[in-house]
Amino acid sequence: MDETEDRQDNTAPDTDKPEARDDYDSPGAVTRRRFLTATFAGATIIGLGALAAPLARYAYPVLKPEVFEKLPVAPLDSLEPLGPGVNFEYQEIPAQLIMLEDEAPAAYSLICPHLGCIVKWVPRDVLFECPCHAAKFEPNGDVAAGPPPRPLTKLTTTVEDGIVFVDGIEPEEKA
Amino acid sequence: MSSGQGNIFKRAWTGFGDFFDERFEMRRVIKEFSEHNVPAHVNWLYCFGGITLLCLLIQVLTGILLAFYYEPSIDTAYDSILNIMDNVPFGVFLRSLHAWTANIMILMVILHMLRVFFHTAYRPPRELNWMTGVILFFITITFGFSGYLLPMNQLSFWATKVGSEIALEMPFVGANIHAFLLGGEKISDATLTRFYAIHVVILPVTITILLGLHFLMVRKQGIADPL
Repeated sequence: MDETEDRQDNTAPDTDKPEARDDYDSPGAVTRRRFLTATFAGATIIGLGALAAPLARYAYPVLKPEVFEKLPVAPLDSLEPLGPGVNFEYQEIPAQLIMLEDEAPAAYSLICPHLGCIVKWVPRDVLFECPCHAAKFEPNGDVAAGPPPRPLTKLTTTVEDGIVFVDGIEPEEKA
Repeated sequence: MSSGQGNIFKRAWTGFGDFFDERFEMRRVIKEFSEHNVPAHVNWLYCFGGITLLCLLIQVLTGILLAFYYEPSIDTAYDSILNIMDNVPFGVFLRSLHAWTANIMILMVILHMLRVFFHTAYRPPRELNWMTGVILFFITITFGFSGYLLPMNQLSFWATKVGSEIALEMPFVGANIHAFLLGGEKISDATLTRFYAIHVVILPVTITILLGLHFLMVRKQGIADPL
């Protein structure tokens, strides 16, 4: 398929080679039929493409922003520093409310940031402990031992009239 | 490499075509289809069957996409329709396209039948194709009837009640057909899932098979001679 061959096909009148008229494969020959075919095919592809975009947009899920409820968990004076705390569930996430040494309440998601097992608050060791791969977390959520890539996810707490409320999930810290 | 970019693309494209051509003789088939001759008397009236097929293709595409969000149970069906209409991007467009094309498809089927009837194109040797066509007509109608219930609004409910009670009037077997249609004595969740299965599984499979036969017969017997 060198260029001389192309040129020959272009310049050779169809009458010299009658079979060339129907030959779709003859290289480089821009016949009227080929031109119209290409034009029609191009328009079809553009048209279908224009249709495909909204269809893809339709199929892609619409994500609603997450709404956080305000959940009363326990009276503040029922907690003691580094005591057993309260185990509860916040928006389908198992969670734990504890009191830190400085008597500030702190709540965490108990889902281990390693592989998603449920960790347990163990007051005797003053650690959150994971049953799956022996990960341990400090009372402030930081990783004390084991494989997790980041601290426990914190839940935001507020105290009103002596009641501890959980009202949100802190975004995961970027590693 | 001296032949330039255009040639590389062209060669890649030709090579791509060659690959399939060597294995499946695609070019021969494409050529046969694209150069297929139709009789000189064919005019615009002969387009209704093709338009019906186009409608069916639109229905398949939009129907699959609607099934992404539609939830077939009495409690959720109507709400899922509202969700499609209010929240899903282009949801109004796709649902409306499905509903409009459904109506247009039935219209086109009827026009196609009238054309064939008045041109007496149903006569031998084409009787079997006419019969297949009549079955396809009823399948299209049943598509409409089953799809009508799915939004589960007042119109759907009462239309299905009227439709199913027509079956109830049949002597001897009426009550059985009625119960079989509704999955019970009255319209319930069972009716909705039943109609959904009919609408999105049973009828599409049936119509595909029968359309295949319909097209094969047209292809074999050709278009009927003019009056």
